[in-house]
Amino acid sequence: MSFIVRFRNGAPALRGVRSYASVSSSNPAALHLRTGQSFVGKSFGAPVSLFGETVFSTSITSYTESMTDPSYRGQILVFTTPLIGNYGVPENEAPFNSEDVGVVLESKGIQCSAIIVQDLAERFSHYTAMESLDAWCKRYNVPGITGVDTRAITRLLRDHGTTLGRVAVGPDAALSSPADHEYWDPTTENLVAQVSTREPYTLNPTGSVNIAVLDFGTKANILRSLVRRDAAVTVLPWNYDFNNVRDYFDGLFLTNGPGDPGQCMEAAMNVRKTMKEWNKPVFGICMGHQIIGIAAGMNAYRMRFGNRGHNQPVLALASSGSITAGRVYVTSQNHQYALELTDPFPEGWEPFFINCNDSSVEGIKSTVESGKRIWGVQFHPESAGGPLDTIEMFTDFVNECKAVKASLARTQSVSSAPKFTARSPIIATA
Amino acid sequence: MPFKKQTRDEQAVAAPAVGDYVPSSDQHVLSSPSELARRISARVLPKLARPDVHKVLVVGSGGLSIGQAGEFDYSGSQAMKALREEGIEAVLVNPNIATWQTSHQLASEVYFLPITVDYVAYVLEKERPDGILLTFGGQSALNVGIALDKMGIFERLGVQVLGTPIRTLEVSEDRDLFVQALNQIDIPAAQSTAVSSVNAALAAAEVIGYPVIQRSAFTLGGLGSGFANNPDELRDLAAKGLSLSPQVLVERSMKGWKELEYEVVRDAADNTIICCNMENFDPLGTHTGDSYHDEYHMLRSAAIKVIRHLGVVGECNIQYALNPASKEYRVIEVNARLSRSSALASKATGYPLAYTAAKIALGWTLPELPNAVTKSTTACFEPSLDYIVTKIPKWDLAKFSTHVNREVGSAMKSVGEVMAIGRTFEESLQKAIRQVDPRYTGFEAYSQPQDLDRALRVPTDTRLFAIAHAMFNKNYTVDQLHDLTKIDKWFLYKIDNIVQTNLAIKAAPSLESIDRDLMLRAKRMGFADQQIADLISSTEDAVRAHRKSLNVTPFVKRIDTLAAEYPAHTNYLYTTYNASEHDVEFDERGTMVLGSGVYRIGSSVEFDWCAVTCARKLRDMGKRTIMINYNPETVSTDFDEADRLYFEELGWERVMDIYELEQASGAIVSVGGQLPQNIALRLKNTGINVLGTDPQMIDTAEDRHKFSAVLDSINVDQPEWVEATSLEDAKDFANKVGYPVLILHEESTLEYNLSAAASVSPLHPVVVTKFIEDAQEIDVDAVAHKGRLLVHAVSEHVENAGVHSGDATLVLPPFSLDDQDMFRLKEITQKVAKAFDISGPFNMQVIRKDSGDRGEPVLKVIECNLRASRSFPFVSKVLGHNFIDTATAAIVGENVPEPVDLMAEKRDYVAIKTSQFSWTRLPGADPFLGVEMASTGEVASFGKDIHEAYWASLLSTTGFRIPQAGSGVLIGGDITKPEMQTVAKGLVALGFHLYCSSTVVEEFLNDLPHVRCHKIFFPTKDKRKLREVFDQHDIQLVFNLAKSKGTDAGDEDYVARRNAVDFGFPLLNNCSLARKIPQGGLRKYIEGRIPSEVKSWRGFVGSNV
Repeated sequence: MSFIVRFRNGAPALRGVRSYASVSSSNPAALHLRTGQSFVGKSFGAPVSLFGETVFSTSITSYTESMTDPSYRGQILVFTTPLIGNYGVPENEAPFNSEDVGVVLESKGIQCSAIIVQDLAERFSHYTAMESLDAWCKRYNVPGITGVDTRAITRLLRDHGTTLGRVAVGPDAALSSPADHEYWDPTTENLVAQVSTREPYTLNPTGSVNIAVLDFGTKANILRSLVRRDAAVTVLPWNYDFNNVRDYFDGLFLTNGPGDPGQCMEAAMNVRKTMKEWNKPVFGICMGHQIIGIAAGMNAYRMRFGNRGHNQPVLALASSGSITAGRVYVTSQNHQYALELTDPFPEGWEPFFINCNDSSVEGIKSTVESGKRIWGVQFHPESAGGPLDTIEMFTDFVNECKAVKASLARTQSVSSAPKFTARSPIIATA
Repeated sequence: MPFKKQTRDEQAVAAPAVGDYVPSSDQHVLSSPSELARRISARVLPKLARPDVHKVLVVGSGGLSIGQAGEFDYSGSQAMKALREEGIEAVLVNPNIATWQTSHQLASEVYFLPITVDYVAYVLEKERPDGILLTFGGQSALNVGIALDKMGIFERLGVQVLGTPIRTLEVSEDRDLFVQALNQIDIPAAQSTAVSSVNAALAAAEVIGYPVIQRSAFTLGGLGSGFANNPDELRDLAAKGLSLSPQVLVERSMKGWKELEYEVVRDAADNTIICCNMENFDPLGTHTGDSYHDEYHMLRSAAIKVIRHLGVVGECNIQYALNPASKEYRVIEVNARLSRSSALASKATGYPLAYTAAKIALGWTLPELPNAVTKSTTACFEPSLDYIVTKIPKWDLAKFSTHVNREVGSAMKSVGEVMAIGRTFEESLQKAIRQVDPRYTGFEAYSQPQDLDRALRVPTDTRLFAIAHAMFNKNYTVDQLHDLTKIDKWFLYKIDNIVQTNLAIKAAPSLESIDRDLMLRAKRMGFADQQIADLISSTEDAVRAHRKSLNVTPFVKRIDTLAAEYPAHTNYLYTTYNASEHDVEFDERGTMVLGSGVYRIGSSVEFDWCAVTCARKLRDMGKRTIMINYNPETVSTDFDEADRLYFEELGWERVMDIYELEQASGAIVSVGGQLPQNIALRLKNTGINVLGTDPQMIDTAEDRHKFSAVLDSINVDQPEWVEATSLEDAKDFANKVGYPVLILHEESTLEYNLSAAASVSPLHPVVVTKFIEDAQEIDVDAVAHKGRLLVHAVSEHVENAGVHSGDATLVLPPFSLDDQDMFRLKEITQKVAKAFDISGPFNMQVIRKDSGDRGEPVLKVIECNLRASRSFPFVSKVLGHNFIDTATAAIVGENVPEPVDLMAEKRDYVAIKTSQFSWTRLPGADPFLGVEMASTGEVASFGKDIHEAYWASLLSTTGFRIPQAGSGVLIGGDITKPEMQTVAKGLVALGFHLYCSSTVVEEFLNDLPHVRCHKIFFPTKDKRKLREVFDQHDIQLVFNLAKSKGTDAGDEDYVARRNAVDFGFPLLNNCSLARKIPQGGLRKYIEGRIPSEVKSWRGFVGSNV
């Protein structure tokens, strides 16, 4: 049991030098960065030392959603908002039906490797809270550091870019920082493979359209957003060749996921084939958007410090569904990689959104002339956490699927369902 | 759009720092550091036509009052900055002469006239602008705008209402329309019933069920609002509410629900963002970032939906009630204008809401505007904060001691507010407490109420300290406190952290035994050195030294709107102990200007004008500037007013910290009122280069003995005084010089009678001064350099000595002083300047009394402050000479101008400064003018003579309703005052009917020729009956000339004064004032007949202002 819990929540941590320190209220902890700086604070959560990629998020709310977002896999997450833990952690069990997908948060356990905060709330206050952030971290064996200058760390990451780090707890905190080569880089691994579902499974099988979801590490709210719009959702492993079952489905959805899209070339090749041969709607978010882009022949690159926060403004360059060209939407984001903005775009494609601040590509779509119905967005329309400005993109997508289904129903017979487990034990926790 | 080259002081708040892509004139381009993004965006950004306006009228908010204060100086100033950037001429109407916005740096023409429909219409007729901005002057400007639109004046004159359309303003103000609008989009509004009578209110409450809340439409900050637990309470509340507004709303009370506010910005292209959300600590404090995700975004989405539906174009504020145990919520209200909350949100986030709202009104869209702080990213984003902000209101209710109700509820009673920034809640809370009053060292039991549970249950201005008492001395638990106060436990847990740390410090046997861990813990929770010293019987100096030896010192951080994601180009700074590195380098060696702190009775926007003017002058002189202030309602805390803004405490500890870090070249303590003066000598003694007048001299002027000795040595007269250490001493003195005497108690409490001296002892001596009756009072404002007088202004008080100079009506130039008086006053001023070796601003109060036929009148100096006074902006603007510019040159000793005698110039105009009172806001307070200052603000108007200027300034006071000719006047007071009959005759001549409550007054007045006065039934206990009596006799004005404050709540004169205020009628309680109502003053607005006082500031004073 304990092995499984550890594996689920800290697989990368096993790589590092791991040690357990005594639990005390003022157990020291240090964050060492590969760029040479160290920050010393107090330990909370699990007294575990580990390596990871250090990133910051500027979101003001939703630490529980961020920490359960599989895209944070392998990362030491620094919160810029100084007070964390205020509302504790809610019960994470949810019913498994068309309203919800088995969890309240974004996945079953804590996905990031460690968290770094300015000021942990030891006592919490909220009517849904079941336990403190500290207790939750302990339960999932995730270390945390409080009482460090998170703004100083953020400025470093901003100026030097995302860098590798080590959380050293207890006696380890007194040791000198690791040598350059000792740092472990989680992006060298296929993190997607660790968080994607192993087996296909189906949610809300009686839904009015059949949507296949390629799971690169999906947030629960993506699935919720689809099933609440009355879609039957079949979740497939990231490298499942959708082309084998595609005739049964009315649409394909590609989820978010951790790390480098370059690790998922297999999926990109499959999608390339799909996009070429299949004319039904395809929608991708975050990693899913990057996979679509790579499949379309675009390049993905590693950004200096990425975009992580809930206040990222994106400008719509084209109108589609609920989206109006020329309008700015405030979005939730969590990514390190992005598609390259080229002028012109590959044939049949156009930029859908750009980031107002750093002009990175925030969305792509197939042109009207191409006859395809493909959209990808770098941000998270499903929120959780973050603004709901673009949530209606799910409605747009499901409506597109319904329209395609309706038009095809007139011309061809429906293929039979592939054999998948209905309501298999949940999602995306590796 | 042609952009003119800008000089430094009119620099764009938000000129982009990057990007060479220059769009062609019809292109709309994203404000982005990326050239590519700018180019691409030009293809898609909507091409909204920008309004074709060249001259825009900005309507200000008038005198500072409770509910409508300095925040509108800030928002109006920002709007005018935006106009200026566009090359649009700004015309401003605002009688608040102490504000920064009423300057020619911002406006091309300024009218010091009432914010009333008539006067704004006349200004429109005179100036013929093509646009008007109505949402930057608070509720006053909004109401005037709606009325002008109804009268068809905008249409007739071709004036375009910029920004949020009038219809939206109306819908947001009218409860019925508002609830309907919300229903259309399925957003739950607080359930309410609009009623126009007391009986209807009671009937509505029966349906809704008690407790209920009453709100009134079209009033400032919830005036006439409150909770009622039963029909009796509602009856009183409704009677009062309906006297202020034709309609009130009775709603379900949601006591115990959380109150949240969102600040929303929307542009004409429908881009909508939330700048900030705030959570109430009930009743104090605001707090961002504590909200649970689902709730935060549920309310965020609802806010965007509502604001889009209502069609706000600019900025607005939406208030919610949220059930703490579910996701149930209600919209309480929407303010479709800049508000106090938006000013706070601007300062708390660094997002300049007013500036942005003005730009949007001028047709810009959010994506086109740069983020003013980073200057590289766009304004179309939502700020992310990496610090915590706490706001606490300053209530100052103790200043209105008699009968005043200290309970704080849904109607605003505070006169100002502070904002504190930290990186833990504990740090920001303790900072905020010290900012409210420098006597507080932090979270301590400053209030120890007998009935503690009641004090916890009922919110008052001191409830926070009652919580401290309960925790420190009565061992209440967080659960108990939560049950009593309904304050979210999260806040109480954090407060408990402070309590635990406090106990840990107290347990330390000595200062030396406090180790680095404990010291760091204490400082990270915002403990002051003085507070630690008090806990362990040490001194602030010793704690500071010990702390530094432990290497525990504060760090400087930036506010940058994006939580450090992008570099900031501005220096909006705060200090914190929750950090390990500085955000800035200290290489500028700037000059520090200490601001005035919280607005309170006696220290208000006038000192902000002084501080801003001083900082700007220093900049012009080529110096780097460092501003310190913590008042979110000010212009001085705009991050572009100084090179470095520290939004920080003004106590000795923090000022020393900043001075040492910055290695500043000097500090200016004489432009921020009394607060910086109090620490001047200590700053000097600890090695700070205090610029200007030597703090030793400041000390001399403030010490009664030393001051008196100096005056004696230069042969300047003063009233007789004694420092009494016993009641006997005081009595002996009073018998010797003759009653009445004035007793100066502690800081500023003054009493007429000796009972105030009852607690006198050798440890607590009091100063007893001979009070000179029927004397005139004169204010002298002046600037000197090295003891040589440079400029001076002599203003005459309308009221006799005895009314606090802060409440007095000032006339400039004086109307009754002859050349000899003026010569002697100048001579005294020169002597004082020399004796105190003054370099900088100073102010004196002088009393003048005719000595009968025994030669020249007596002139006695009663007070002298070696700093700028509250009348500096008034005299500067009236005389057309900026006293602070001159004072700044004198303080730093550079480019000091030659002396000039401004009073020798003859002027064909006169200006009168009138005090703004907020009695309506202070239930129970006695509206009586005495030696204690009670006004919350001031207004001033110009005129060709004293009558014209007086009438305009009287009308300028917010809430003054002109009584109709032929209506009734309730007259009362002391018949022995000779003015009683003059006033009565005058009122009859103006066509008023006189009524009184006392037989004595009736008999006295009826003995006068041509005067008729009726004694009427006068219920003193039943407000509703009294209201009926007022209606029956059509009483629209109360004139009351009592000798002293009411002694009890049944005092007829008190009841008359109080109810004049409660019923919203003008109260004249000074004879000198009542005499000055002009014959023509009662006439109504007549199209095109512009009265002569409708003349701009420049029109009166000339082009040199």
